[in-house]
Amino acid sequence: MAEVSLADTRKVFGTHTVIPELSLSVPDGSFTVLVGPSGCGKSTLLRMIAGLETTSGGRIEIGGRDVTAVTPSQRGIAMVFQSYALYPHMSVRDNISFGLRLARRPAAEIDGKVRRAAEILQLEPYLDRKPAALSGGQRQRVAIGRAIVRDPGVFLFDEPLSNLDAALRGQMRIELLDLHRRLGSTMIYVTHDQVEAMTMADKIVVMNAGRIEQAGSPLDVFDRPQSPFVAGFIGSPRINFFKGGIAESRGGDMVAVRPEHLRIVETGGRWRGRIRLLEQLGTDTLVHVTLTDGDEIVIRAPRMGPELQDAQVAIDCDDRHFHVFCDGQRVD
Amino acid sequence: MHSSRLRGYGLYILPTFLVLATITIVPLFVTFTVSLFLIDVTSGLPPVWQGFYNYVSLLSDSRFLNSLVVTAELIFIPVALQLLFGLALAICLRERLAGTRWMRILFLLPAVIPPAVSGLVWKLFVIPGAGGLAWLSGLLGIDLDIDLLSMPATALATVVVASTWVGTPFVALILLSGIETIGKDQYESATLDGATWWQTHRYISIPTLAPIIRTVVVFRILEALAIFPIIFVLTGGGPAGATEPVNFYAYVTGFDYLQIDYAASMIVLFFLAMMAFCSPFLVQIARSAEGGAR
Ligand SMILES: Nc1ncnc2c1ncn2[C@@H]1O[C@H](COP(=O)(O)OP(=O)(O)OP(=O)(O)O)[C@@H](O)[C@H]1O
Ligand SMILES: [Mg+2]
Repeated sequence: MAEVSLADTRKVFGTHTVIPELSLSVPDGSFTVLVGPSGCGKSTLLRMIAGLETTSGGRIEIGGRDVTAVTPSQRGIAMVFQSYALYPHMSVRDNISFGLRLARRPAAEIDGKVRRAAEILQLEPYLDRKPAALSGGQRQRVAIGRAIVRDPGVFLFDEPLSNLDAALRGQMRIELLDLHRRLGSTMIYVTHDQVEAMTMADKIVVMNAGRIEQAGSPLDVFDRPQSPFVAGFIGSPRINFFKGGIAESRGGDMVAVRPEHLRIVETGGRWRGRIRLLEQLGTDTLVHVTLTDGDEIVIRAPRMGPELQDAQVAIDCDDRHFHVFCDGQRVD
Repeated sequence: MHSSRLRGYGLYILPTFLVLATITIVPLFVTFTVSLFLIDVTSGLPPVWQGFYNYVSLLSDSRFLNSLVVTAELIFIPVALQLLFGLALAICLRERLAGTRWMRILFLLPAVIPPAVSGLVWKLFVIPGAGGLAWLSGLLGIDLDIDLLSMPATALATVVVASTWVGTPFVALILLSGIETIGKDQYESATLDGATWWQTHRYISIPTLAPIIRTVVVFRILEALAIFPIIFVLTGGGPAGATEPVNFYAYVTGFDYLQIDYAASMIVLFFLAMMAFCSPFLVQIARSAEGGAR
């Protein structure tokens, strides 16, 4: 159990500044997801918390203790890597107990911890196998088991599910949330998949180019994006942006509306356009429309037939669904 | 079906098989035949059948027995040292310690220099009073004016050093390519688990490299006798046979003393001993290669 706080943390590789200056507080017991586009510094930040990268400036505290200069193994953290990082020549049991054996814990304690982790992760039947004889999902569980036996205050995950197929990813997502509820430890989870971020987090941290764009609960970030970047990054399909008169009339230079808040209407409407493409999702239909001014927008509408292809339509939305931005900041 | 498939494979293998047979099996067979006859090349008399007489004599030939001991020393000590240094260098190169980037190229040098030249280099290096060694020890303020090659123990040590020097780069490069297949994450994960530098290599690098180490050792053992030119140049087998391995004794017997049949019997015995020693390893390597392919 531990909170993590970063104060003015910086990271520079040579002359390349990856994280200019970043402060973040991760509450004790939270499931915090760091999300952002590729190369924005998520892994670097996580590795700094783990102690695998040195910090170029600032402080890192875990559980109230300044760990900026503490070696990785003494920070009270455990990390699960995207590649699983299992040792191929060791059995599952030996992989899980590696750290405990290095620390020369008593055999009974090691055995008990391995058994508990194996039970939580349903790995009992595989304890004597080598990693090569496991499926991707099972390997992932072994990697998590290796973290569990360390009883860390903080679990760090770096894109742990990205090597799994979609179905397994969905299942492991739920298992990880179960694990979080069961252990109650702080978890920091890195992903570039905003669906993973939305579904798993109790706190989302949206990063862009080494900076925090916005941090908050998933719904808060979704409902009140603080910048066009966050609005565009969170939510699928992507939010629609409008510039020009409609933005100026609301006191900004840009407005955004989510696809599900746009409606196709019989009469009136703010915009007019031609249906370019219909994507059928089953329950809903994604309607791609080319507006008269040439902009492309997406509408998430209740299911509608393919006969509407190329039809001229009018589009509207309620005032309350506009997100207004001025100079890259939200205006209310 | 099965046999026709075998026949198909056989056809592909045949050319290779014929070439291998010509360059290995036929000479062996000829050597063995020669060893069973008394052949006097100086008199021009026809060969006389003498059966296994040569082999019986070998067993009481103290120079031969000594050469067996020297052979064992010249195989196992350098190979053990090559493995030790090779592993250490591979690990240093992997960790990109300062200045090691060059080493990859420098390293290949001893491996590509012809062994006879290596022998010469070392001979010049240890020349008393004038060589590089004398110069180095002079720098340290020691007046080293002894001929290392004139005393049995130091002569053997010099050959061991030269042979280690020749073989280490190969071992290091093979182990380096093996060690580079180990993911960075594995080392980092071990670091998080509290492993020290030594423990990460003891429990991760070395076990992962074990199959490669086994293969390399067998090949180095088989290759160790290729130091023949080094001995030829450096010590000529002396002093008093201290650095004379079996193949060198056989060479001297055959080409200096012109006792071709006796030399042949040494080679045959030595071949059998090497095969007996190495074949379990070779079988194991072949097995694991088969297992890996499956
Ligand atoms: N060891 C390093 N040396 C120099 N630059 C580095 C190093 N590690 C990372 N970087 C740079 O830092 C930036 C952030 O990298 P990082 O791996 O943290 O991105 P990320 O957000 O995890 O991306 P992804 O989603 O692709 O994993 C990148 O521009 C990368 O090139
Ligand atoms: Mg990353």
